[in-house]
Amino acid sequence: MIALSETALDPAPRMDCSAGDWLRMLQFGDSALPTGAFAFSHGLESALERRVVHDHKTLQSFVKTSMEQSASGDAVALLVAHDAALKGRVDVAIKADRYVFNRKLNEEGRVMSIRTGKKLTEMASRITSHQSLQEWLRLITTNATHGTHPVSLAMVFAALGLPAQGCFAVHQYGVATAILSAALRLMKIDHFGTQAILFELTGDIPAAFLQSSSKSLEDMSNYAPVIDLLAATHVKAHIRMFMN
Amino acid sequence: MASGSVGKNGYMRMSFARRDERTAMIDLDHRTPFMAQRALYWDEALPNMACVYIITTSGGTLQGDRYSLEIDVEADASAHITTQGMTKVQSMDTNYAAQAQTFNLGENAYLEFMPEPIIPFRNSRFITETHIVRHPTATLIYSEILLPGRRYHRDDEYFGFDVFSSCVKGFDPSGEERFCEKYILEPERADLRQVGVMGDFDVYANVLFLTAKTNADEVHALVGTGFSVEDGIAWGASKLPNDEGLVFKVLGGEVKQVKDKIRDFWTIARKVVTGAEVPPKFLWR
Repeated sequence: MIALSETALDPAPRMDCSAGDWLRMLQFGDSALPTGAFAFSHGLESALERRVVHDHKTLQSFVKTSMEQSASGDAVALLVAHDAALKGRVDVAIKADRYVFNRKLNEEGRVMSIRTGKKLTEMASRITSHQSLQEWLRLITTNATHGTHPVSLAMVFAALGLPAQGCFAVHQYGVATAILSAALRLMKIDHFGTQAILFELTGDIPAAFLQSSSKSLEDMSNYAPVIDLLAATHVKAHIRMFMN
Repeated sequence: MASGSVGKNGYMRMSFARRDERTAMIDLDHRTPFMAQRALYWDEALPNMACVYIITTSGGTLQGDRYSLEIDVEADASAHITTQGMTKVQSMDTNYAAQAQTFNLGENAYLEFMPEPIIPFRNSRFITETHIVRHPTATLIYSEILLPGRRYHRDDEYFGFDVFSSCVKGFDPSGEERFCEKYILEPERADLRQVGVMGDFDVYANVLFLTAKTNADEVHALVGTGFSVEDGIAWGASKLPNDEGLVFKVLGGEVKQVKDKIRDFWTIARKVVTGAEVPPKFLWR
């Protein structure tokens, strides 16, 4: 069996973007973007408490798993929604949003996704005053759709005319940085350590894009039982710094 | 054995309905290698519940096998269904084995579907798709236990299967999707020992408890959670989307540990929904 990443040195097509586009992507991919994501550790807090993660190597493996789960699940819906939004098919974006929500079997994961998705939409619709984003926000506030984070991010990128690959990359990057910034606060690791992990794992993103973009909503899948159980134990924990 | 020959296309259909106090099996249709005998009423705490063993007469699931299972539980009926032994998915060099399961639960129906574990042998390829259509008042306890392979076999047996793909979808009676759990395990492509996936655990169990929100909340408050790398066991419940119920997961090193946790969950869930206790453990299972 040959993995896709082994078939070509530079598997994903090059993005043709202006400097303006790059800056927009940097802004919406910034981990300091106030969506409330900083309140979540993506299960790292429990993972440390239970000694599932305890050093550089196990942290890197944990982040890799989270990015792979995102690529086979959320990010598939993100790409479908991005394509739908460009074609003006809001109905398909709503369907992608429902697929994300119905496949998040952990309550904390759902709460995080819809909370940060709504915050992102509120902010983007305010600062860009883009009509399609105001409409997306209206759909969220009237409960016509959930407004999960990956689908809302896709709506923002499509509204700004930013490419799908950039949207995917920013989303995957966000998954990694959320965990790594929590790691700095929770465990014995320095900035060099987290940046080294980030540098290495973001190298997988172009190949992951090719795999995710070949999938349909029905192909969305997830399997990370240890992370699921860490989330389940976290809900009932007495002392916690993060929401998850 | 050639595709389509006897025993390759297994089929089983069962329907249960309430007749006076008791639940009767009103329909049973099966094709080799599936078999079921009559409904028995051995559960003393729920004497009106139909209890059925699904029997497979073959030595396991082979390449090219296509199985289909349909279970209907009509309004106010209750049933407990299990299998006689573990499901062995044999090694394959061509093709794959596939299984489709459909459950229909009517108003106030109650079904416990708790088969013995599945063992995917080295180089096996198995795909299973399950559709559950449930009235909002009905309850389903659906458990599955997945082993990494045969024990005490050879070094590359654990997580040595080619593909294990599972998809479980829940629907309301109008056909609206309520939740979906889909996973595709390909150990060659994605290491299952990775941190956050299986880690050092070997046995994976998933129990879906689909029920009314009040039942789910009560059970969620009573079910404990635990996670011990030293003891090699972890368990816990999460609330499903759209108030469909709970998913209870267990990871362990041994089947027995995992089964004990499922039994604890089953004890709580059955008590909350029916008020009844679970039967004593079988001596030989």
